[in-house]
Amino acid sequence: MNEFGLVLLQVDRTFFDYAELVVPALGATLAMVGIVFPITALIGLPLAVVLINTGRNGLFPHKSTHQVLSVVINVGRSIPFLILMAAVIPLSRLIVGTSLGVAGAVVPLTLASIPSFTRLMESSLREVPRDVVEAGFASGGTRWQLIGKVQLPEALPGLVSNTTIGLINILDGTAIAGAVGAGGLGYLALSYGYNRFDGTMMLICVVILVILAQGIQLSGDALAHRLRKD
Amino acid sequence: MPAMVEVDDLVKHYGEGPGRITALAGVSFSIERATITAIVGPSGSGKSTLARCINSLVRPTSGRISIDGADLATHTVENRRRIGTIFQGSSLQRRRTALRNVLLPLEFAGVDRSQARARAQELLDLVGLGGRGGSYPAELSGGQKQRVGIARALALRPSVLLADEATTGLDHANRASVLQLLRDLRAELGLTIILITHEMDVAREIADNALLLAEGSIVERGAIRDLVLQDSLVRDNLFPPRPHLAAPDRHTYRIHYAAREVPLDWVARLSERLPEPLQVLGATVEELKGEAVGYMIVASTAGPAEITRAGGGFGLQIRELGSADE
Ligand SMILES: Nc1ncnc2c1ncn2[C@@H]1O[C@H](COP(=O)(O)OP(=O)(O)O)[C@@H](O)[C@H]1O
Ligand SMILES: [Mg+2]
Repeated sequence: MNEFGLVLLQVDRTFFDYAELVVPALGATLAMVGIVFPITALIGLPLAVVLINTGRNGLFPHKSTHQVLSVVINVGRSIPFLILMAAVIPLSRLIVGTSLGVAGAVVPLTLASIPSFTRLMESSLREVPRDVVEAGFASGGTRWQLIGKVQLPEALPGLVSNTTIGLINILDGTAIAGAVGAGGLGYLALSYGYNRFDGTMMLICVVILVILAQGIQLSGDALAHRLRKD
Repeated sequence: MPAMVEVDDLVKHYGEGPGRITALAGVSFSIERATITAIVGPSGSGKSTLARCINSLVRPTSGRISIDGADLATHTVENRRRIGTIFQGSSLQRRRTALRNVLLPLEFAGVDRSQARARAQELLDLVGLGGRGGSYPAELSGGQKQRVGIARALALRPSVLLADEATTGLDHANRASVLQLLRDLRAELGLTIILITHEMDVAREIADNALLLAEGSIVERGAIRDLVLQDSLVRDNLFPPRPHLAAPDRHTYRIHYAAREVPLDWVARLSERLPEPLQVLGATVEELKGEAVGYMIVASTAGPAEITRAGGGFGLQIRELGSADE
């Protein structure tokens, strides 16, 4: 059955009818998060390490690098997601071959989530007291050792906490991307729940999104709590 | 043999241009091995900057520092490991246990794992925390954390132990035990210890020598005992002038002495040599590394020349109060 044919199925859907729509949509949402999040983390965390350590009190201060990076991130963060979605269509076509569906949403979602994720990671790294890093330096650590054995492990609980925020932001992003055609729960909620007045569908989608967000939040909090030793 | 620490014309400016701050304005000194030197001075006098130049956290604007003959500018990484630094308060990693905090420098240096663990345990034993290796910093008292910090500073067998305000913020008992530990370490390991502090009594309790910094320059230096028994700024900091009462027609004096160098009955004997007995307005005796050192504030009809002559043979340091420099 195709997306357009479904218009006819509006009346008296059974549980199975809903499941038939919701399950693939959930799959699409999870796929988007599952692709976008690792890429975002893999780029955002190192960027945050560079950002903090090129800063004034960092391990390798470098004013111009720091400023350029900072400006690029701020610009990235201030572009509204919907506009970014439209603006990167050519880029999406180039990278993933399409600007439609899950694949098409991955490029703009990743681009949109990296800047804010970087700032989230940066703020956690900033919480490591300067004394602790300096003590590591005075203990004879090289810069790489200080990043790997002092900065990152000390910041870990905060990094985990803020990663949950980043993940939920990405989940939000998939709903918006869905609204403009990427599929997933956001698409379902809007196209059926909103445009076709199917309150049940709207409710199901919202409940699943809330459960996902809550699940991420609670497990992130629990993990961060377990990692914290003070 | 060169001195353990040699600092030659060290200058540090922060910033550039007209607004730059001169934190060190050409400081030179040397420190002999196995001594404890206190670097004292008011807040902002450049003590921390000096410490941070010595442990390579700050690059001096000019000047030279050498440790055991090796120039700090040339072998930076290796020389960083020659200096153990104890930081103020808690510089421990909160997510590492006490043992793993002590392990950190050994991990950095690539020491074999089991050897490193044995060494870290040995160091915890040395600082009296052998049983607390598994505790996280949050589970330790301020004094215990500071001991872990000391163990970490010793991990790579440094020849110099540098402490910037290591006892600041500790309560009296904890401070006393940390100072005792430092004394023991000097005795057992022959460490050269540099203590940076604004607490003069820390210097009094533990140091052999003192350097007094003011506005980025050394204004006094020497053995603490000599400084205390001389007319010195260090002494005035250790024994601040106190308010006093005396009849208007009398001179008031502050008399400093080392108990073992003066006759027990010096007050009576000095009084005998004066037209009238001394009137004692106040007195204090402090222990300076096991020796009683004190001062007395007295009033007398005798003028400065007369009382100095009378007290001359007793080894007293007499200074008139209320004179221009008080
Ligand atoms: N990183 C810095 N940047 C600019 N000025 C500094 C910095 N560190 C210290 N100073 C200034 O240098 C002077 C000496 O400071 P410091 O060495 O911390 O003295 P102390 O430890 O004796 O209090 C002060 O005027 C202080 O404000
Ligand atoms: Mg200071």
